[in-house]
Amino acid sequence: MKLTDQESRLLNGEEGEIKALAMSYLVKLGNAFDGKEMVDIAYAHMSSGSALREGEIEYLGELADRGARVVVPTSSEVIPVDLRDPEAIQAPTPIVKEHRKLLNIQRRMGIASTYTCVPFTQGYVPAKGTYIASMESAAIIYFNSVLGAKTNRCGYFVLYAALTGKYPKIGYLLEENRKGTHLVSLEANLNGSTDYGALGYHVGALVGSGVPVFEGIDQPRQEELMVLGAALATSGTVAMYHIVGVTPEGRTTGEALGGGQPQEKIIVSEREIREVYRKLHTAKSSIVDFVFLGCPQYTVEQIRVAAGLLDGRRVHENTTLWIGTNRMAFAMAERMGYYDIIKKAGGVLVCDTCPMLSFLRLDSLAKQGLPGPAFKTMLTDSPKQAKYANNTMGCETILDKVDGCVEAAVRGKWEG
Amino acid sequence: MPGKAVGEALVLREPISFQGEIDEEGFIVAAGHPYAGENVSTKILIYPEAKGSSGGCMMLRLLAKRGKKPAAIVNTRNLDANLVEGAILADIPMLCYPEKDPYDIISTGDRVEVDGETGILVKMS
Repeated sequence: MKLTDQESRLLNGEEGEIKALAMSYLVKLGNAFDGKEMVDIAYAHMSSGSALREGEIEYLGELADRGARVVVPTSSEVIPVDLRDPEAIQAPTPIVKEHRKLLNIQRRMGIASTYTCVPFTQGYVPAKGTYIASMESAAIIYFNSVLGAKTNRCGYFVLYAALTGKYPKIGYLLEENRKGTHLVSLEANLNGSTDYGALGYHVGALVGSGVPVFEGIDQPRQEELMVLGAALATSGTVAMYHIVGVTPEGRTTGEALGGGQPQEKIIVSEREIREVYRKLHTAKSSIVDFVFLGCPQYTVEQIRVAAGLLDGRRVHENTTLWIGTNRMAFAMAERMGYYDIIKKAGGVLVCDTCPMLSFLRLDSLAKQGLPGPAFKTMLTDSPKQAKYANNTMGCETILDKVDGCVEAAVRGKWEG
Repeated sequence: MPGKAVGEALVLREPISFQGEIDEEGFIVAAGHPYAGENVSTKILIYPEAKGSSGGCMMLRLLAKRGKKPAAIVNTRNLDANLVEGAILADIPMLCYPEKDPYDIISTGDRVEVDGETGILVKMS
């Protein structure tokens, strides 16, 4: 890998030991992919570090003590608890305390404590063609596909990218890896974001790490694309897709495929969409003790819709309802009165966290000496959450659209 | 990824996600996964490619801290940057795109050697 004089100075420690450490990791990563050079990045979305994984917050704190500061705009990922109102979800005090420490560390380092999987809904909207470094598969795929900014499926190394402003030019930062590989013709009518999620879940499993090109999707909403992308990156490793005539690098089918031929053509009909709902329905009982909406985190518009469905009603006494969002959407939901409606109905508008990454994970409950699973059956409108809740929370799941989810939350029972 | 390892092969024909499909002890916990119940720790893990959420690299790092990491990873279909980050942090030798199809040659339980520097994968017994 060829480094510029400035990059060599970073690596040699002339700009301090932290930047040298960060640069050494980035060079190793670049070499593993036979990268030729580094690029400057315009933005970073990094892991917050979780108190559930030992040593992560401590490590970040040590770096901060040694003077680590980010050099590009940097937002941060969902954490295991809600710091706004931890009592509302009965978050364990020790984990809450750890994350209050994290908040202080992030302040010192210049990292925005967004605790979100959808930073592009909160002002972090990198421009088309810019290089960025993002973790969170649901964010990565949105940045690449919908915004046309260029990121890899980064993980922990976003920290090193944020500390140096550099990332090796590999993977999805290279034009040749952004071309469509599979052509997907949609022959089903999609109705709402959960259907988009079902489409993504079906196609992700077929294309693996490919770049699907969708034909037949018209006028999708932001939320629908958020759920589509999250699902593609759950059943597969998809980091990029094109929607012909919609996304910026796929104005035509030819442009989306980069002038080449697709490896495979896939036709999706109503049958395949319905099959995903069936696959993610692992519950044996129709009694629902947990309803979760908001994976990815709900936007103000989605909170408005859910509050409208809940208005004047009451969540069943044996059912817990969480609606997941971030602090910025929360502020607007509070101003618009949606928070009051949800609270009055007995639901919780949750910030900062989501069930599959929260203290309700089986491994976290075991560490707290608590029996698991926390809930027997989770009903959700998100294929991603449904898939991971089975594995990490030990819940059985049901997938349904938002109106079906709210109806079941009120009845305590899912009636199809 | 540089580094050498010798160990028992665990051959998976399906992609796997270190985030959510493998627990902190290295067991494959994904419900319905064809290899559920297998343990990846100390194994030479051979599988097509990584999949799923980008938290996978942190899970590899944690497995390493707990002494439960795989001895080496061989991916046959695709090399995922997130997984490579995890391999660097966890100091796990890694190979990708073998010339011959390892599924024809290596089965679970075989003793194999991996050299991440030279890119050599050898079946020993």
